[in-house]
Amino acid sequence: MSDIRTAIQIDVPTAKVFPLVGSGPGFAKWWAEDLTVRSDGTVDLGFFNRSTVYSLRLVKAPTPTEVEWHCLSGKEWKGTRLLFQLSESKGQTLLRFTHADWEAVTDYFVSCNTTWGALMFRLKCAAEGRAPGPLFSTAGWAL
Amino acid sequence: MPDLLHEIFVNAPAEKIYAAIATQKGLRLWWTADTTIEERVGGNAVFGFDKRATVFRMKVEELVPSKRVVLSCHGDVEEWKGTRLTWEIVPQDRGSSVQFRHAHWREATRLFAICNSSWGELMHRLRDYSEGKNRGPLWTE
Repeated sequence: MSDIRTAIQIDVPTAKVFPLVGSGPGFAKWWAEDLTVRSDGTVDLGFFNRSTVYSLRLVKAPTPTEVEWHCLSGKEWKGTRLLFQLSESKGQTLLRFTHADWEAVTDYFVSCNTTWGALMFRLKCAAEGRAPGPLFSTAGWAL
Repeated sequence: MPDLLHEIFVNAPAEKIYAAIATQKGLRLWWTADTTIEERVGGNAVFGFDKRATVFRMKVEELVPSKRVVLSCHGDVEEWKGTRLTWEIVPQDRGSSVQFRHAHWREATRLFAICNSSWGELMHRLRDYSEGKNRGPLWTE
């Protein structure tokens, strides 16, 4: 099993970061514009006109410092987990992110590592109340 | 020793991507505005961040036009000392794949994880600049 690990400093308290990673609708502000939430709470994120859909479900009730999602779909993503860990110091947040339990370090693993890096910056901007919004529009990459 | 690995598809010719990585003019437009580089093998390169609160001093190890750029880091950040940055440009049917490796880290520290995010964002800025959709450098001073 392999994990993608990233971290980023965000210049606001954890309370402002939590809603962006602890609930489905928060993802639409920095990750993917095409987002729906099913009645059972499963979050569906659509990419490239839904040629790819990642379905996520909370593993357990989130706490203010830890949120864990289980990936239910995707050839390589199915069975992986997204873990967001938040810690605060002097009004700033350190976000540690892990995309855990990949079966192997594939080309897609590497390209997802790159995408997660850009996503961390979109998340930082959204938390700090700045543009540019989500990295993915309904049809593709957003500018 | 852990490495940071990245890859992105860029819809631009290899020569253009190479110029973005191998020249001072290019590097200033997607990485840090405070870049100076002697554009030859053995040349020195200095990258400044946040008004030089952080400085990376590097040496140009390899320049293979349209294919590869390799830099080695000698300071000033302790954790970066002895690390090596390699960009490979691999032609595809239309456009190119850019593969990046930041090798020889001694440990997977917090800075390692933070740099992993930054490299991801930088790969996107390199792509956007090479495709003519420049958003400017990640560090502006």
